Amino acid sequence: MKITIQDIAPGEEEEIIVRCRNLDEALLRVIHEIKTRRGKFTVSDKDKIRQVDAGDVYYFEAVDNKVFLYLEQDVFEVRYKLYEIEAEYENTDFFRASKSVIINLAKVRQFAPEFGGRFEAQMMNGEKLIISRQYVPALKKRLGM
Amino acid sequence: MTEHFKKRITEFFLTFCIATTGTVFVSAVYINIFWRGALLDPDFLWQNLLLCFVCSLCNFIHPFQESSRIRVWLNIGARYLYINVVILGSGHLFRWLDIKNILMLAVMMLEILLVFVMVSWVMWQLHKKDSERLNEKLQEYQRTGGRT
Repeated sequence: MKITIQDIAPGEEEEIIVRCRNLDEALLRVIHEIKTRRGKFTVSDKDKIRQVDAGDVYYFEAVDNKVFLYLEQDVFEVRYKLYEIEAEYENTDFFRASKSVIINLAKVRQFAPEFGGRFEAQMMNGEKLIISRQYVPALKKRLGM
Repeated sequence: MTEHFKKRITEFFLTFCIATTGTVFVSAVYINIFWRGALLDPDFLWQNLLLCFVCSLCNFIHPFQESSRIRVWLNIGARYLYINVVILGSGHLFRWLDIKNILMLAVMMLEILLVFVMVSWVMWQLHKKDSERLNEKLQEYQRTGGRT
């Protein structure tokens, strides 16, 4: 496979173009890695604007038409909609767990059973989130069950 | 058919099978206490099956959106209430339950509770097993970087 790296002018947006016959598993894995590790979210931190690596995000939650990004300890509001994040980060570690939450599977310590066919995702920072019954089949599929 | 719907249908049939098994046992106890020596109408068996089917439909009852633990419990309560209404109403209609007989009513309600607990316990065990498998897969997923 030929790999071409081009220099770009300062300020120009970085771009990766994949030219292939079949989008096989190995390629999907590479895209997954790039998207998760290189993806960044712009957040407002008090008066400042800063960027957060997608790989550091624990989960996103929508509350009253606002979307919040949760890191290990910090919380920031983001300007994205949940469905935009879901679409943009498809085939990455981000998984829609309920109508209002997207979790990062890489930050889940374990799943615990809950009443009503639901699961509780216990995150590595100790937080607990609910996986709705409606999204359980998708979770199983994602994890290869 | 979506995966979610398939799962709900599977759960429905599973509930029906467990509820029917439980009902056979509690019916035997009920008949021994209140209808000992009576000649049973074969329709009773069909009524049992029909009631188990109708009660298993409670799997599709979610009056409250399950966004919190309290709402999940409210849904469980609503299902339990539905089952009680169906069985006590049908028992009265099919004439194997005299709702004016307090003892008969109490035993029937206790039996409903027993079957409800039994079905819930089996479903919970299956769900627990599912979560164990899910955790194994999660570990594998995290170890391999999402290549499961």
